[in-house]
Amino acid sequence: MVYKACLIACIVFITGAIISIFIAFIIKGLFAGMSLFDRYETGTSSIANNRSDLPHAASLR
Amino acid sequence: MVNNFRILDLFQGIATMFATDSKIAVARIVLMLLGMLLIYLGARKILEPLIMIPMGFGMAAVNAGVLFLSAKTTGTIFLDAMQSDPMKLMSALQIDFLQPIYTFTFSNGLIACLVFMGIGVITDLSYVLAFPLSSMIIAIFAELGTVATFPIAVAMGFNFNEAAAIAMIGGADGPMVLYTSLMLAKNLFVPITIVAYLYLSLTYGGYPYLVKLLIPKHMRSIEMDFSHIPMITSEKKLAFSVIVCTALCLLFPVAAPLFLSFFVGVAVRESGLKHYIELIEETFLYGATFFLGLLLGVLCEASTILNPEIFKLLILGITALLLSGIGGIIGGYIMYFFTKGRFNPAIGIAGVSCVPTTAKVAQKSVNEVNKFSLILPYAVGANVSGVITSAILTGIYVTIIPLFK
Repeated sequence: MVYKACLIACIVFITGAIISIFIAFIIKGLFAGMSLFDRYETGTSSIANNRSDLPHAASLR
Repeated sequence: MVNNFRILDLFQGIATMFATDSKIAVARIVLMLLGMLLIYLGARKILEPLIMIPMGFGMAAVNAGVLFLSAKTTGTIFLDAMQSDPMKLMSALQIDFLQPIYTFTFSNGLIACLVFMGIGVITDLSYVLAFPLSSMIIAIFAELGTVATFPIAVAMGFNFNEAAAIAMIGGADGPMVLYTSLMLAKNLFVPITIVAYLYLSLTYGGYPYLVKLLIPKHMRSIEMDFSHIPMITSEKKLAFSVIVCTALCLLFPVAAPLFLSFFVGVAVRESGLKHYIELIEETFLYGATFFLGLLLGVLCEASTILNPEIFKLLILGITALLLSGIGGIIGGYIMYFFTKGRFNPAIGIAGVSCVPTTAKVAQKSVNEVNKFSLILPYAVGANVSGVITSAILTGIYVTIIPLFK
């Protein structure tokens, strides 16, 4: 009974540790993903800003 | 008719003292005095007043207000905790004034979820997200008591369900203890919860000595580096809470109400829903805490406290909290060696998820040796991670124990 309890305790600790570390990596991944998204958004908005100049560029031609 | 009248019939609280076993009568008097002591200690802020004042009142009143329910039986009109027969329960719901609150919020774990929702609303995840790996490593080591107490409890004669519920005291998280004991060991949930809440109030007084004992002064005085802290926006915290809540519910559906309650609280806070924040923090959290204290007190009837298992629970409870504290400090030392001496190991004690008590204990014990050392942000990170790991371990225990029957 006690051996079985020790086995359960080990399973609980190892599973808990794996999930906790997994959550820590979710955070890291989330941050990396969100900063990539931010960069993408900044990039597209700068293209959009440049496009607003297009009529002016066209009139120059 | 008048000739049969005795003056004690008028004061049944006193008359029942003479009508029952002398042990019960003595226990009733002791518990009335203990209730008064808890109110005093709560009012002096030595113990947590939010729990101890209503609990002390409940304890004193329930042991004083015993009456004759029939010619031979005595009892109270507060509540009947162990009633499961539907017809008798219906009758109790109409007579016992706290029975509706007990039946509809306690026995299904709702009160634990409401408290947890409130904790979610007042929890700032910034520091967990800023230092995720160190916070999580410390928090998982601070669950040492939750894990190691389980086989000890089994060795002391408890079955797996009871042992798991007792071991959760090591998580130092009231709602978790309440939830696990309601799910796994309903027969012991009253004494387990009482022992857990009594001990949780003592962590503020006991853990500083553990920190001083296990961490030398020169290590406690280490100053933390705050030059590379990432900016944590509300969007990031919201995204994290949604993803982690969904993942944890997928892994442990049995504990899904707990995960949902905590993370919906976080999401409400981060979305800036002012009315919901006020509702959950002011009404749900304080309302649930008040009734939790009151009902815990009312459940402290002499017959419950005279349960022979109580002494074992007292030993196991303190063992669990002690081991968790030691585990947290081991986690702090691991981070100290991992960062080549740039991490203050006193932060480890904050991994024990008694929010925010253990974080304050960590900062206080550091300031005793170095007034300029600020570790609170790291400690809060570990503290909140402790709440998350306690919820995870609750989920694992509640899921795994029935499989080993």
